Amino acid sequence: MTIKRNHVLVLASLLSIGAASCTKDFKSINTPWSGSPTASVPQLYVAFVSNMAQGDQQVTYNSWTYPITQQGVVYTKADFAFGNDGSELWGNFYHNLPNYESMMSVIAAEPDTAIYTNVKAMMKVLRGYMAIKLSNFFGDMPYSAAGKSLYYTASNDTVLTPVYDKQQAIYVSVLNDLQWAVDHFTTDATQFSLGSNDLVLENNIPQWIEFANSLRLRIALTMYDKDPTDATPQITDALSKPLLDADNTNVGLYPGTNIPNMDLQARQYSFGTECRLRMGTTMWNLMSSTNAQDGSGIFDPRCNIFFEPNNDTLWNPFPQNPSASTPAEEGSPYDVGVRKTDWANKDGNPPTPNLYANFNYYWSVDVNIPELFMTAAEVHFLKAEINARGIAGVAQNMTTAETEYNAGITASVNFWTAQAIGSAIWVVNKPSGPPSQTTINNMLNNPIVKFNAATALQQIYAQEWIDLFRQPWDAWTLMRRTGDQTPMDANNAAFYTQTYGGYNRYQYPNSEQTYNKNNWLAETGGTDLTSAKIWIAK
Amino acid sequence: MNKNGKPKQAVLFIMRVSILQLFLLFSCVTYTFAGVVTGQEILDKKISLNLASKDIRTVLKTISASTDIHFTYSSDVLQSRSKVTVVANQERLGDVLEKIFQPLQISFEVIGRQVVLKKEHISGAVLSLAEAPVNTITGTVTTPEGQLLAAVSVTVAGTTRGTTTDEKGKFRIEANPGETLVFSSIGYTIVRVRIGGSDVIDVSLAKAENAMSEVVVTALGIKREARSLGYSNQQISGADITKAAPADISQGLMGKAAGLNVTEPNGVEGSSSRIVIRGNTSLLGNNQPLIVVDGVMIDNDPILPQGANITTQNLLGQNTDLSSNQNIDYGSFLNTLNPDDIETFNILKGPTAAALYGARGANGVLLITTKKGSKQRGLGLNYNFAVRWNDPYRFMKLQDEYGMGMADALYSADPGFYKTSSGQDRETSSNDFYGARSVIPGVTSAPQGPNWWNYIGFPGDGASWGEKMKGQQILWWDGTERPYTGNPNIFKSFYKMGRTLSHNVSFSGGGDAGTVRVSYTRTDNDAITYNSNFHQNVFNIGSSINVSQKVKVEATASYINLVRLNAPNLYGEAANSSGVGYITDYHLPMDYKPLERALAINPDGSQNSTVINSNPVQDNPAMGYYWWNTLANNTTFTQNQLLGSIKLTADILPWLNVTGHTGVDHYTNQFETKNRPVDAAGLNASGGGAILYSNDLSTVNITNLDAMITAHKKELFKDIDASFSAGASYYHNKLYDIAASNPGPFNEPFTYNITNFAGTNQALLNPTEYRQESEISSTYGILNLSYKNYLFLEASGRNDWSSTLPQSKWSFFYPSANLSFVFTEAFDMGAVKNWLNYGKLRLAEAESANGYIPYQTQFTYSPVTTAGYTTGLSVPTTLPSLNIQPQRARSFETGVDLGFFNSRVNVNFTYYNIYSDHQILPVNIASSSGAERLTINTGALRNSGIEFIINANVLRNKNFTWDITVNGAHNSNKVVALSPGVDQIPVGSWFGSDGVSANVHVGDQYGSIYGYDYMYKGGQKVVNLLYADGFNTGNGPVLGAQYATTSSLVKIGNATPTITGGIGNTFGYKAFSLYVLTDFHIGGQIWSGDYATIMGQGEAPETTHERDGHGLPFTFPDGTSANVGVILAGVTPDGKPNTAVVNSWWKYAGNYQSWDNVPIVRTNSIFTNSWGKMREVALTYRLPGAITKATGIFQSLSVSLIGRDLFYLFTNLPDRLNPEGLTGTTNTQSTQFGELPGTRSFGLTVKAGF
Repeated sequence: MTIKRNHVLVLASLLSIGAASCTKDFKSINTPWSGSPTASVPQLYVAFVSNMAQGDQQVTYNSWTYPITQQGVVYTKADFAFGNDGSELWGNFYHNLPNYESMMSVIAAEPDTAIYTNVKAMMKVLRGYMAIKLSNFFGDMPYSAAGKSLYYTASNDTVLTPVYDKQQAIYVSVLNDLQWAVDHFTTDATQFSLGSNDLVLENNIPQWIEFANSLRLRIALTMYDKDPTDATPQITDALSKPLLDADNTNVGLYPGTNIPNMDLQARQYSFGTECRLRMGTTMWNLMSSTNAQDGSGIFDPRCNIFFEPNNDTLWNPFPQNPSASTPAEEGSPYDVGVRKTDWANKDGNPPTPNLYANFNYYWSVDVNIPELFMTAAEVHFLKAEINARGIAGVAQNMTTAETEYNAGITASVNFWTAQAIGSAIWVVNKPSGPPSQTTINNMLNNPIVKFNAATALQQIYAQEWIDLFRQPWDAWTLMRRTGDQTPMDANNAAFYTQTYGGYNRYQYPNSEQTYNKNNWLAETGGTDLTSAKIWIAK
Repeated sequence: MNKNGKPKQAVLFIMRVSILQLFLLFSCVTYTFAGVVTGQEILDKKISLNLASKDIRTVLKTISASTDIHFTYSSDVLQSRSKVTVVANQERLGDVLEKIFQPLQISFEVIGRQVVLKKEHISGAVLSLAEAPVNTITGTVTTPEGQLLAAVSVTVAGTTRGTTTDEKGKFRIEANPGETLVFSSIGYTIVRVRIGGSDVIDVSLAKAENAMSEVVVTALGIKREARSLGYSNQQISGADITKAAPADISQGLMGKAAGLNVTEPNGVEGSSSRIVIRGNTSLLGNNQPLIVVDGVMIDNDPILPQGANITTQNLLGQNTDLSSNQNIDYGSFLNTLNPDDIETFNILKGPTAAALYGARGANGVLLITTKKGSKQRGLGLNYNFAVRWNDPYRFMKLQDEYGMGMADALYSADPGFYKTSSGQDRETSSNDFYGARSVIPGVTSAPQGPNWWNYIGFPGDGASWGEKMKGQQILWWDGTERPYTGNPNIFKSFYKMGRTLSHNVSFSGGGDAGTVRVSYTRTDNDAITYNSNFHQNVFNIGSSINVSQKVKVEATASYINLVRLNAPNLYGEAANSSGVGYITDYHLPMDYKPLERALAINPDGSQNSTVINSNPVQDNPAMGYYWWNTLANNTTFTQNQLLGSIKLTADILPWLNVTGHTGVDHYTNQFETKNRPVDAAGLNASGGGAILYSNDLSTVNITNLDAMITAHKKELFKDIDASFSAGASYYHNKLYDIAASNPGPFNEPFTYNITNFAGTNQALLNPTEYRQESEISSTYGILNLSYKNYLFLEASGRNDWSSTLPQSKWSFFYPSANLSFVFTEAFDMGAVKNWLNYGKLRLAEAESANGYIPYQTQFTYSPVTTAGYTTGLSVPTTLPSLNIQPQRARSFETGVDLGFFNSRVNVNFTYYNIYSDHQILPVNIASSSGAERLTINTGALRNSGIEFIINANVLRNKNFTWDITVNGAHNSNKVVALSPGVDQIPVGSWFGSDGVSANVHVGDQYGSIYGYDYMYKGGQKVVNLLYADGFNTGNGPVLGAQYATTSSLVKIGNATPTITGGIGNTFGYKAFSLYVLTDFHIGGQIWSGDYATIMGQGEAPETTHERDGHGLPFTFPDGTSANVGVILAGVTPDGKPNTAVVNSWWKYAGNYQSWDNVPIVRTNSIFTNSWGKMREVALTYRLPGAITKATGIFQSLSVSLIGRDLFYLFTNLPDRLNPEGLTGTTNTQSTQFGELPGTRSFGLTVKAGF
């Protein structure tokens, strides 16, 4: 029996060894068949920039942000809930933090990390841009401890629940990053070049310096009224270094050039799905000197670029604050299927009456117009504001303020006209060339626009607000930080107050309340209100 | 090792075995030589004995010593110390045993090397027949249900004359008048018939369920005596499944096994099935049992295009939107396995029974053994024919009084019609919803706009709050004037009578070399929806071949070819390709007239754009496209599957058996779509992402290799027998899919292929790929001990190595043990044995462990897929599971098996408790951490419950028999823990936060339903009133009223049923038998989206109560009045009783909608879904043996009339909603939406043997 039992044991052992040895292919079998175990600096950079592209959030801009900033109007309140793009914005930023961290790890593992100084600076600028953009939607938010889930271990699980930072701390931190970037960007030829993978500025380092510096100026000025101590040195330093207005550079994602195959379906979707946008009276009042519906009072060339008349070719703006007597609006001015073959048909099929002037149809279909981060015109306006106010160590100087104001308007008009000219599909009412000096001068001298020291600040904000037409989120920030000094229609203002006046920020995504509950509670006290003012708001 | 003995021999032995081992495990040869010697071989052994007047136990010991076989028997089998005399000279062992045991009324069966003895239980009265002359007696042996019984031993008592029945149940034996024929078969009670006046004796044998000698198939296909099992193992014969010609095996299993919950969801024949044993054990993963067909491991996941697997997707947090993840149901594995080819099903419930299947058996195992053939009389040919007509009969109950409209009902007592430009009354168009009557009358300054959709969301185009249908002549959308009338069944034109035809031809035969069965089955189905059908061919061969005295081969192979045209889109909600259930239930107004089918295709073959553009149901142009999609767009799903298994058994040494097995499951799934170009020229697709052609091919290879060595020893210690098995197995699963599509336009008209493309963007033709591969290697050991044949202990240990886990964790071990105690034999039961003849206690404890899905243990960057950024690589948002360990389940089970009154009543009762923890879950984490999900071990579920099975032979006499089987189960499926800080995880949702969500929530039963509930104040529902300023302000007259909701989604129901089960009755009268099965499902809630739809859209009959004048007096804005007012019961927000009379529109439209972006109460569409159903009825007439014999052609012939799913005995759902019309076969079983009508089947089956 002993022999027999041992036989069995030997057999069993052999079976075990046999089975155990079958693990030799496990690793190769379980290696993911798509994706890559490693990523290069350019690959991570492109991924990072891809998260800066705007997706369905544009639906919310078209539904909510335009009527809130009064850059546009919707003829009936949106079906989409206010802030329902918050999760997308939130995710885009926080998903990018691991990309940032990974890139820094890849760089740290390189034999010569010094050649990546420019890349590091670019990343600090882009991360800072995204952080401030997001913070202006939400206010306080996780930042210093955020995006670290890559480092999760069972004993380090706090990385899953990042604490919230005050908006002030985020602003200061980003300003420091931008300052570092401005101070460290170098044109040294030994620096690693992202080349065409730099989808933002094509490795143009002088322009990167201008962008970083201009962003610093915008951010510092945005927080100036709340924290002049931290803002002032940044403004002072920024003004002493190259800015985007130096060569009229406008920074953003350029589908036609820098990113040839950029996907703009979300933009088209935002105009294609229940888009109720119309030109509002607030913008109309700043672009036309009369209410003549034939457009004879229009003096701002951007009016014909941003908007188009109704189905009867009449410039009939929708009342910014409608009343019960406002005739109902219908029509389908953004129906690509109809207008592609029948451009003049804004009533749609089957037809319903389009009574009011619309956003220009081309906004929904053009594949060349960029998604902007910052324009040269804005820099002019920022400088105009600083000079008009005499802040941050700059003495009040209305002459300089006027110069910058006029330069800002000119830069804006030229830029937007150039966009229309550059559009491959823009056919009807396409500008034939850049605005003549006469056109510019006529505009600058129009009583509505002409610089007036007494109302200079409102004028500066108004023109900046117009220039931010395709950056309504930035217009919203401008509106809040100036205490609603951007243009607003005074007629039936109670409508605005009741309908849109209560919206000051987004609620945090549900995932925060569910999965980061303690920190969410510490921040909100359990009450997360859209009516609460964020720190930078007046 | 014998230290002093013969080391050389020992070494040689080990080398021999080792070489064999290596051959088995490393040479990748699929055949392994192993196994147990067959019973026939043992009985054919020749022995010589000369024992005079010896104690029978001494005789058996002597035989054991000389043959190395062992006798197993209980004390009452050999109670008396009777003396026997045996003289044999090189006689066949089987004949010697017959001589010994027959006078003692003891029968025997050979299992492995065990000869199991059992006392013959003589069922019922000994039948007495009149005296007859000496003759050749013939007859047929059947079950009371008429099933023919093969291999029944027929002997003449007290003689050596004996025979067995053939596959037709026929026997022929020489016998004298007055002698007694003894009919016996394992698992059946013994019948003795004294030969009387007839030479034809037909006998019916009843099953001896749970009899002490029943033999069942257990894990790894090991046959064991039921008495020795310490856990529940329910066996169902193939014949039990096919009694009422089910569409597939899943349907055939419904209601037949305790604790086995089979659901087939909303759909048509060919839809997938969901089987769950003892509840869900995985929070997000697959909860269906492993299916093992002749040793080949298969799963029952629904088939999806592009190689997608719903379990994998759900585990990754993807595709949890029920409205889209399975709206076209292509079926699952159990659809195609042919029921006619199945010998038995064994249901191994829970980890206890399935411990030996390792990781893949954690949800239990459905063990399927196919037929292998047997020796036959006659030609051995069988032909089964079945035809079933499938009648969609149970349509939702709707009103037929009021036509299309939405807010119209708010405007006037007689809102009238919209008018054409020439002033003619015309049919309401869906655009009218947004037109003149889009404002709630009286609301003037609502900041969000006064439109009704700001208060109730957007209903479907079926909204029927319009004009009363009184036969008014109005202009229809197609330009024809028709009377405005209702239609009592507006859905009918979408369905028709379906039909399924099935032919099965099989040949079975055998001889000394073995047995073989060859079968071919052809099934043709025409669905209840249009242009949808399938054809299936199944070739099956099963054989058992005696290669030599020591080596036997069992080989089975099935080739399955399924071609399915247009599995219907059920509840898809895409604008231009919506499903039939979605369109009918959501988009058809009550004035609908079925015009589109005839108009959808123009005479020149092009698409009729008028139907699409002018159809009234066009807000969502679903209806306009439906018939074009149904008739002109074709997707053919072709499945070719080869399922093969070869098992070798070898008797290496007298005490050592080896078994080897290899199984292969290879299949391809192909989806080929040919959508007709919409233009007559045959070039263009309809646009909007539509395609003209696509081809998608998945190839799947699953390989199993198993080897097992068993050593056994009788009387290892005093009264203790022992055996030990060691085994190894290997499982490999590989899937590859490639798919591409051509969006057109075509170069060549009507030519369907990928490259026929005249477009500019060639990248659109690029194929997509998908892969999945995993491997599990295992070793295991099983120790079996038995004490005096009434106390049995089995212990097992298994170690798995799973490729899906990280290296440090990919090896994991888990043990099991079970104890069986036949107390009726251990103790002297005295008089108790007169009524309790058999009693067994069972006790089992087991662990099992599971790996995960592939590719999750290594970090990889994800390619950016957004156009313009495709050179990017991004950190994934689901972080890999670098440190996960296997998830585990621990189960405890205890129960009793009792036989009463000579096993005429058998009771099986089980209590179990399964704790599943360390679940591998991609837990949601705060996005601010940088990722959305992180895969870790967390969470636990506890399943505890009871199961019972009662079988009773209620009545049994010469002409009439009545058997009852009752089974039932209660399962508590409690969520014990989720990840830290998380108290609920969504597992599926319908319309997301605009509908309901199914979540698992700590402390609740699995599958809680979340949605908005009523808000209460002082126990009363809070009612918000609507005033002229659009708010509940008190400014102006009350215009409307709606129930206030909770501020967020809260738990409003739970899907877990209280009890499920079935009751089967079989009545036999002479040659007739009637079989009736009902099954029931008590408790468990669903959210009915269809109910919410028809109530909110004014389609439900309930919604006409007030409109018909049974409400309170109400004055409309235009000054007309009618008794359509209601007061919503409840209090206003200030706590005062609500007394405001509002239009009854608010009660329905304002408080029910299925999709709603405005918070609306969901609780009112939650129902407890209890039902009982007449599932199967079969009336069979079996031609008596004398007649079939007289034909000279037939060996047997029976005809059955069958009915399936005939009606519900009871249901809680209103308006004839379909209790089984749930969406999909995923873990979410609580949502009903877009149901198809209930379908009943009638048919005929003919079974003929030649």
